[in-house]
Amino acid sequence: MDIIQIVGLGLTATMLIVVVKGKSPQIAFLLTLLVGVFLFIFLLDKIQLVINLLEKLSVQAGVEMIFLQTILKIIGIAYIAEFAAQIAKDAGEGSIASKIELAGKILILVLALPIVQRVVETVLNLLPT
Amino acid sequence: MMAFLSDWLRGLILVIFLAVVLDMILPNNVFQRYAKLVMGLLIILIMLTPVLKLSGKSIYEMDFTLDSLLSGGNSHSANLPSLEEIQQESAQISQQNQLLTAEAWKSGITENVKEIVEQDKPGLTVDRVEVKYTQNAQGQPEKLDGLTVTLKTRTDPDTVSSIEDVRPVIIGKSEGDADAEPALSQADRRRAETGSAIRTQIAAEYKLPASKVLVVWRDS
Repeated sequence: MDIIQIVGLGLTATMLIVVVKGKSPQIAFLLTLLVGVFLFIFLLDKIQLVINLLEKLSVQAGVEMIFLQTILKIIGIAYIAEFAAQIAKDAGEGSIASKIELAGKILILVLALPIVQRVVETVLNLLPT
Repeated sequence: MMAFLSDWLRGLILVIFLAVVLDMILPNNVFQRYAKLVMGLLIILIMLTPVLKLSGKSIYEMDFTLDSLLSGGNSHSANLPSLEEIQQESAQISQQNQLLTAEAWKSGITENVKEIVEQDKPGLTVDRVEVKYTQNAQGQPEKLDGLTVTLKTRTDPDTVSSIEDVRPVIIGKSEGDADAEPALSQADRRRAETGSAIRTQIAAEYKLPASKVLVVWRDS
Protein backbone atom coordinates (compact mmCIF):
# COMPACT_ATOMS: atom_id res chain seq x y z
CA MET A 1 0.00 0.00 0.00
CA ASP A 2 2.87 2.28 0.67
CA ILE A 3 3.85 2.42 -2.95
CA ILE A 4 0.37 3.60 -3.92
CA GLN A 5 0.54 6.38 -1.37
CA ILE A 6 3.93 7.40 -2.57
CA VAL A 7 3.03 7.28 -6.24
CA GLY A 8 -0.20 9.14 -5.51
CA LEU A 9 1.63 11.86 -3.67
CA GLY A 10 4.24 12.09 -6.38
CA LEU A 11 1.77 12.27 -9.27
CA THR A 12 -0.46 14.77 -7.50
CA ALA A 13 2.50 16.94 -6.74
CA THR A 14 3.71 16.68 -10.32
CA MET A 15 0.38 17.79 -11.73
CA LEU A 16 0.14 20.60 -9.23
CA ILE A 17 3.61 21.75 -10.07
CA VAL A 18 2.94 21.66 -13.79
CA VAL A 19 -0.16 23.79 -13.26
CA VAL A 20 1.53 26.23 -10.91
CA LYS A 21 4.77 26.52 -12.84
CA GLY A 22 3.27 28.79 -15.51
CA LYS A 23 2.03 31.31 -12.97
CA SER A 24 4.74 31.29 -10.34
CA PRO A 25 7.85 29.16 -10.68
CA GLN A 26 8.91 29.94 -7.08
CA ILE A 27 5.92 28.19 -5.60
CA ALA A 28 6.50 25.29 -7.95
CA PHE A 29 10.07 24.97 -6.73
CA LEU A 30 9.01 25.04 -3.11
CA LEU A 31 6.46 22.34 -3.84
CA THR A 32 9.12 20.17 -5.41
CA LEU A 33 11.30 20.58 -2.36
CA LEU A 34 8.47 19.79 0.02
CA VAL A 35 7.34 16.70 -1.82
CA GLY A 36 10.91 15.48 -2.07
CA VAL A 37 11.38 15.78 1.68
CA PHE A 38 8.04 14.07 2.31
CA LEU A 39 8.95 11.12 0.13
CA PHE A 40 12.27 10.84 1.97
CA ILE A 41 10.48 10.79 5.31
CA PHE A 42 8.08 8.11 4.02
CA LEU A 43 11.04 5.93 3.23
CA LEU A 44 12.79 6.35 6.59
CA ASP A 45 10.92 3.47 8.23
CA LYS A 46 11.79 1.09 5.43
CA ILE A 47 15.41 2.21 5.42
CA GLN A 48 15.51 1.53 9.14
CA LEU A 49 14.36 -2.03 8.50
CA VAL A 50 17.03 -2.63 5.89
CA ILE A 51 19.76 -1.18 8.09
CA ASN A 52 18.68 -3.28 11.05
CA LEU A 53 18.80 -6.41 8.93
CA LEU A 54 22.24 -5.59 7.60
CA GLU A 55 23.52 -4.87 11.11
CA LYS A 56 22.16 -8.15 12.39
CA LEU A 57 23.71 -10.03 9.52
CA SER A 58 27.10 -8.46 10.02
CA VAL A 59 27.04 -9.13 13.74
CA GLN A 60 26.17 -12.76 13.06
CA ALA A 61 28.92 -13.05 10.51
CA GLY A 62 31.38 -11.39 12.88
CA VAL A 63 32.21 -8.57 10.51
CA GLU A 64 33.51 -5.46 12.14
CA MET A 65 30.93 -2.69 12.35
CA ILE A 66 33.35 -0.23 10.81
CA PHE A 67 32.82 -1.84 7.38
CA LEU A 68 29.07 -1.68 7.63
CA GLN A 69 29.30 1.88 8.88
CA THR A 70 31.46 2.84 5.93
CA ILE A 71 29.01 1.28 3.50
CA LEU A 72 26.01 2.94 5.10
CA LYS A 73 27.77 6.27 5.15
CA ILE A 74 28.48 5.93 1.44
CA ILE A 75 24.80 5.25 0.76
CA GLY A 76 23.75 8.17 2.93
CA ILE A 77 26.14 10.62 1.35
CA ALA A 78 25.17 9.47 -2.13
CA TYR A 79 21.45 9.85 -1.50
CA ILE A 80 21.59 13.18 0.27
CA ALA A 81 23.93 14.71 -2.28
CA GLU A 82 21.80 13.31 -5.10
CA PHE A 83 18.63 14.75 -3.55
CA ALA A 84 20.11 18.22 -3.19
CA ALA A 85 21.72 18.12 -6.62
CA GLN A 86 18.46 17.16 -8.29
CA ILE A 87 16.59 19.95 -6.57
CA ALA A 88 19.26 22.42 -7.58
CA LYS A 89 19.07 21.13 -11.16
CA ASP A 90 15.28 21.44 -11.17
CA ALA A 91 15.61 25.02 -10.05
CA GLY A 92 17.84 25.62 -13.04
CA GLU A 93 21.07 25.88 -11.06
CA GLY A 94 23.16 23.29 -12.83
CA SER A 95 26.42 24.71 -11.53
CA ILE A 96 25.32 24.45 -7.88
CA ALA A 97 24.14 20.93 -8.56
CA SER A 98 27.50 19.90 -9.91
CA LYS A 99 29.25 21.45 -6.87
CA ILE A 100 27.03 19.44 -4.56
CA GLU A 101 27.85 16.31 -6.51
CA LEU A 102 31.54 17.11 -6.29
CA ALA A 103 31.23 17.50 -2.51
CA GLY A 104 29.48 14.15 -2.29
CA LYS A 105 32.18 12.43 -4.34
CA ILE A 106 34.97 13.92 -2.27
CA LEU A 107 33.28 12.92 0.99
CA ILE A 108 32.91 9.37 -0.27
CA LEU A 109 36.58 9.31 -1.18
CA VAL A 110 37.52 10.69 2.24
CA LEU A 111 35.70 7.75 3.79
CA ALA A 112 38.01 5.52 1.80
CA LEU A 113 41.22 7.24 2.96
CA PRO A 114 41.91 5.09 6.06
CA ILE A 115 41.14 1.96 4.05
CA VAL A 116 43.51 3.02 1.28
CA GLN A 117 46.20 3.68 3.84
CA ARG A 118 45.81 0.25 5.41
CA VAL A 119 45.84 -1.51 2.06
CA VAL A 120 48.98 0.31 0.95
CA GLU A 121 50.70 -0.36 4.27
CA THR A 122 49.88 -4.04 4.05
CA VAL A 123 51.11 -4.35 0.51
CA LEU A 124 54.31 -2.50 1.36
CA ASN A 125 54.84 -4.78 4.34
CA LEU A 126 54.61 -7.73 1.99
CA LEU A 127 57.46 -6.50 -0.15
CA PRO A 128 60.95 -7.41 1.05
CA THR A 129 62.85 -4.36 2.19
CA MET B 1 43.14 -22.52 11.63
CA MET B 2 39.80 -23.70 10.28
CA ALA B 3 37.98 -21.29 12.54
CA PHE B 4 40.08 -18.43 11.27
CA LEU B 5 39.49 -19.43 7.65
CA SER B 6 35.76 -19.73 8.11
CA ASP B 7 35.66 -16.35 9.85
CA TRP B 8 37.57 -14.85 6.99
CA LEU B 9 35.27 -16.38 4.39
CA ARG B 10 32.17 -15.30 6.22
CA GLY B 11 33.42 -11.72 6.44
CA LEU B 12 34.37 -11.72 2.79
CA ILE B 13 31.04 -13.10 1.65
CA LEU B 14 29.10 -10.65 3.74
CA VAL B 15 31.07 -7.66 2.52
CA ILE B 16 30.60 -8.75 -1.09
CA PHE B 17 26.90 -9.19 -0.45
CA LEU B 18 26.77 -5.70 1.04
CA ALA B 19 28.64 -4.37 -1.96
CA VAL B 20 26.05 -5.84 -4.31
CA VAL B 21 23.22 -4.37 -2.25
CA LEU B 22 24.97 -1.04 -2.24
CA ASP B 23 25.42 -1.21 -5.97
CA MET B 24 21.70 -1.76 -6.40
CA ILE B 25 20.49 1.03 -4.18
CA LEU B 26 22.94 3.71 -5.21
CA PRO B 27 21.08 6.60 -6.85
CA ASN B 28 22.84 7.08 -10.17
CA ASN B 29 26.03 6.34 -11.99
CA VAL B 30 27.74 9.56 -10.91
CA PHE B 31 28.23 8.18 -7.42
CA GLN B 32 28.38 4.56 -8.41
CA ARG B 33 31.98 4.74 -9.63
CA TYR B 34 33.16 6.25 -6.36
CA ALA B 35 31.18 3.91 -4.18
CA LYS B 36 32.49 0.97 -6.17
CA LEU B 37 36.04 2.14 -5.60
CA VAL B 38 35.53 2.26 -1.83
CA MET B 39 33.81 -1.11 -1.79
CA GLY B 40 36.60 -2.60 -3.85
CA LEU B 41 39.15 -1.32 -1.37
CA LEU B 42 37.18 -2.80 1.50
CA ILE B 43 37.03 -6.16 -0.23
CA ILE B 44 40.76 -6.05 -0.94
CA LEU B 45 41.39 -5.29 2.71
CA ILE B 46 39.28 -8.22 3.84
CA MET B 47 41.02 -10.47 1.35
CA LEU B 48 44.35 -9.37 2.78
CA THR B 49 43.34 -10.31 6.31
CA PRO B 50 45.33 -13.58 6.34
CA VAL B 51 48.42 -11.66 5.24
CA LEU B 52 47.88 -9.15 7.99
CA LYS B 53 47.53 -12.02 10.37
CA LEU B 54 51.02 -13.14 9.40
CA SER B 55 52.46 -9.84 10.51
CA GLY B 56 50.65 -10.25 13.81
CA LYS B 57 47.97 -7.65 13.31
CA SER B 58 44.24 -8.21 13.18
CA ILE B 59 42.13 -6.19 10.83
CA TYR B 60 39.59 -5.79 13.59
CA GLU B 61 42.11 -4.12 15.87
CA MET B 62 43.01 -1.51 13.31
CA ASP B 63 42.09 2.07 13.69
CA PHE B 64 39.99 3.08 10.72
CA THR B 65 38.74 6.33 12.14
CA LEU B 66 39.35 9.33 10.02
CA ASP B 67 40.38 11.53 12.94
CA SER B 68 43.39 9.43 13.77
CA LEU B 69 44.43 9.50 10.13
CA LEU B 70 44.09 13.25 9.90
CA SER B 71 46.05 13.77 13.10
CA GLY B 72 48.88 11.74 11.61
CA GLY B 73 47.69 8.57 13.29
CA ASN B 74 50.10 6.19 11.58
CA SER B 75 52.13 3.46 13.17
CA HIS B 76 54.70 5.93 14.55
CA SER B 77 52.36 7.98 16.64
CA ALA B 78 50.51 4.88 17.78
CA ASN B 79 53.43 4.12 20.07
CA LEU B 80 53.40 7.54 21.70
CA PRO B 81 51.40 7.87 24.88
CA SER B 82 48.22 9.86 24.68
CA LEU B 83 47.77 13.22 26.34
CA GLU B 84 45.70 11.68 29.11
CA GLU B 85 48.40 9.18 29.91
CA ILE B 86 51.01 11.92 30.07
CA GLN B 87 48.81 13.97 32.37
CA GLN B 88 48.20 10.99 34.62
CA GLU B 89 51.88 10.33 34.81
CA SER B 90 52.67 13.93 35.65
CA ALA B 91 50.04 13.92 38.39
CA GLN B 92 51.60 10.77 39.81
CA ILE B 93 55.10 12.21 39.71
CA SER B 94 54.07 15.45 41.36
CA GLN B 95 52.27 13.49 44.06
CA GLN B 96 55.42 11.48 44.69
CA ASN B 97 57.39 14.69 44.76
CA GLN B 98 55.10 16.17 47.39
CA LEU B 99 55.36 13.04 49.49
CA LEU B 100 59.13 13.14 49.26
CA THR B 101 59.20 16.81 50.23
CA ALA B 102 56.98 16.18 53.22
CA GLU B 103 59.13 13.23 54.25
CA ALA B 104 62.34 15.23 53.98
CA TRP B 105 60.82 18.04 55.99
CA LYS B 106 59.62 15.64 58.69
CA SER B 107 62.95 13.88 58.95
CA GLY B 108 64.69 17.25 59.27
CA ILE B 109 62.48 18.12 62.24
CA THR B 110 63.06 14.70 63.76
CA GLU B 111 66.84 15.11 63.52
CA ASN B 112 66.66 18.53 65.05
CA VAL B 113 64.53 17.38 67.98
CA LYS B 114 66.89 14.48 68.58
CA GLU B 115 69.85 16.81 68.65
CA ILE B 116 68.20 19.15 71.11
CA VAL B 117 67.16 16.40 73.47
CA GLU B 118 70.33 14.38 73.33
CA GLN B 119 72.61 17.39 73.80
CA ASP B 120 70.67 18.59 76.77
CA LYS B 121 69.87 15.32 78.51
CA PRO B 122 72.63 12.83 77.80
CA GLY B 123 70.82 9.97 79.46
CA LEU B 124 67.86 10.08 77.07
CA THR B 125 67.28 9.04 73.52
CA VAL B 126 64.52 10.12 71.27
CA ASP B 127 62.67 7.06 70.09
CA ARG B 128 60.22 8.60 67.70
CA VAL B 129 58.98 12.02 66.69
CA GLU B 130 55.51 12.41 65.25
CA VAL B 131 54.98 15.56 63.26
CA LYS B 132 51.52 17.00 62.73
CA TYR B 133 51.17 19.65 60.07
CA THR B 134 48.68 21.35 57.79
CA GLN B 135 49.10 20.99 54.05
CA ASN B 136 48.67 23.75 51.56
CA ALA B 137 46.85 23.36 48.25
CA GLN B 138 49.85 21.72 46.61
CA GLY B 139 49.94 19.12 49.36
CA GLN B 140 53.12 20.51 50.83
CA PRO B 141 53.62 21.12 54.55
CA GLU B 142 52.68 24.67 55.34
CA LYS B 143 52.46 25.00 59.11
CA LEU B 144 53.65 22.90 61.99
CA ASP B 145 50.70 21.93 64.16
CA GLY B 146 52.17 19.77 66.83
CA LEU B 147 54.95 17.44 67.85
CA THR B 148 54.81 14.22 69.79
CA VAL B 149 58.20 13.19 71.10
CA THR B 150 58.63 9.66 72.42
CA LEU B 151 61.55 9.46 74.86
CA LYS B 152 63.46 6.48 76.09
CA THR B 153 66.07 6.22 78.77
CA ARG B 154 69.34 5.11 77.33
CA THR B 155 70.19 1.54 78.16
CA ASP B 156 73.98 1.66 77.81
CA PRO B 157 75.50 -0.22 80.69
CA ASP B 158 78.14 2.47 81.34
CA THR B 159 75.82 5.41 81.79
CA VAL B 160 74.94 6.45 85.25
CA SER B 161 71.23 6.61 84.70
CA SER B 162 71.00 2.93 84.00
CA ILE B 163 71.80 2.13 87.59
CA GLU B 164 68.64 1.45 89.44
CA ASP B 165 67.61 3.94 92.04
CA VAL B 166 68.00 2.93 95.59
CA ARG B 167 64.58 2.54 96.97
CA PRO B 168 63.92 4.36 100.18
CA VAL B 169 63.55 1.98 103.05
CA ILE B 170 60.62 2.82 105.21
CA ILE B 171 60.60 1.14 108.51
CA GLY B 172 57.39 0.37 110.25
CA LYS B 173 55.25 -0.20 107.25
CA SER B 174 53.89 -3.43 106.03
CA GLU B 175 55.69 -5.11 103.17
CA GLY B 176 54.07 -5.52 99.77
CA ASP B 177 52.82 -3.04 97.25
CA ALA B 178 53.21 -0.05 99.52
CA ASP B 179 57.00 -0.01 99.36
CA ALA B 180 57.14 0.33 95.58
CA GLU B 181 55.05 3.44 95.41
CA PRO B 182 57.42 6.14 96.59
CA ALA B 183 60.14 4.95 94.21
CA LEU B 184 57.76 4.96 91.31
CA SER B 185 56.37 8.32 92.07
CA GLN B 186 59.87 9.71 92.43
CA ALA B 187 60.88 8.37 89.02
CA ASP B 188 57.65 9.72 87.61
CA ARG B 189 58.31 13.10 89.10
CA ARG B 190 61.77 13.16 87.59
CA ARG B 191 60.36 12.16 84.26
CA ALA B 192 57.71 14.82 84.40
CA GLU B 193 60.32 17.46 85.19
CA THR B 194 62.60 16.39 82.37
CA GLY B 195 59.64 16.10 80.06
CA SER B 196 58.40 19.59 80.74
CA ALA B 197 61.90 21.00 80.33
CA ILE B 198 62.25 19.31 76.96
CA ARG B 199 58.80 20.43 76.05
CA THR B 200 59.45 24.09 76.69
CA GLN B 201 62.74 23.88 74.86
CA ILE B 202 61.24 22.30 71.77
CA ALA B 203 58.26 24.63 71.86
CA ALA B 204 60.62 27.60 71.98
CA GLU B 205 62.68 26.19 69.13
CA TYR B 206 59.70 25.77 66.82
CA LYS B 207 57.70 28.75 68.15
CA LEU B 208 54.81 26.53 69.10
CA PRO B 209 52.56 26.81 72.14
CA ALA B 210 53.80 24.35 74.74
CA SER B 211 50.44 22.59 74.71
CA LYS B 212 51.09 21.48 71.15
CA VAL B 213 54.21 19.59 72.14
CA LEU B 214 53.66 16.21 73.77
CA VAL B 215 56.36 14.25 75.48
CA VAL B 216 55.68 10.55 75.88
CA TRP B 217 57.85 8.14 77.77
CA ARG B 218 58.45 4.67 76.63
CA ASP B 219 59.98 2.06 78.86
CA SER B 220 63.00 0.55 77.31
